[in-house]
Amino acid sequence: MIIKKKEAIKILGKFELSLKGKKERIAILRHNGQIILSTAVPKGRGDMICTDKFRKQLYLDQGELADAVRCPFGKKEWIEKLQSINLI
Amino acid sequence: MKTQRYSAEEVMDSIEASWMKPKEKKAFPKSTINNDANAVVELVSKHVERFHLHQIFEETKTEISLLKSNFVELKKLIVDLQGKIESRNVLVLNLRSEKYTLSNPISVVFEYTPEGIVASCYDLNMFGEGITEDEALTDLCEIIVEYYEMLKSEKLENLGKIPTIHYNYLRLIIK
Repeated sequence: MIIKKKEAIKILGKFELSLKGKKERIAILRHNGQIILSTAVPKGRGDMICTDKFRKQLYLDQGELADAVRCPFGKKEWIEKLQSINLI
Repeated sequence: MKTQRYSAEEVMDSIEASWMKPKEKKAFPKSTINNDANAVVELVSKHVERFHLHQIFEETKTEISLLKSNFVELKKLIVDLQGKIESRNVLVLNLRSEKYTLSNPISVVFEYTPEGIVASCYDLNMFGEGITEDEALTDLCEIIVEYYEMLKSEKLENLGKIPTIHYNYLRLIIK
């Protein structure tokens, strides 16, 4: 599955990751004051070639990524997923 | 179901027409069969067994043919995939940054897909992409620099387990 770069940015916004860096290329998840994970923010337009790697950085499976793009999978579900794998 | 009776001659005619080999025709002439019911039974059971074996043989032939065509398709798929996925491991000595240089090289893997090229740094779990290797690598270097600066700006106690590992690694290789 390949998503668009703007869809990836939309997901980062939906999951409420903070953008960091001068060029805002890093998105981080902070939990209880600690940075738990980070991912790169894609630049430009078009297809996100490394969709699969982006997905794995966020600990999502293919179905969850597809749901995150559409709508059913939001921040609440994502946090529950991260908790279920003991990341937070 | 209505059962129909056949005379020995009728049975012999049918068998003779479809299954009997020339040698058997000689061994079981019609005149003998007409007077010997046992001979008919023997012949019929031999042919029934032969018919069943023939059926099994035909079914097996069909299965083998299906397996062969599946195998050919699978081979094509593998060749197709091999053509699509390719990767190359390089050591990068230059972060392409005015501010920072590397004291040790970074291992980067280029992965080639129909959509473009991904430059992966698995030590940091960070990736850049582009249409060319140069573009992908430039993207990755920019991300690494931003990542390093972000981690440097945070207090150590604010870094979780994985960001701490990454920061310790980056501190070793970036000057």
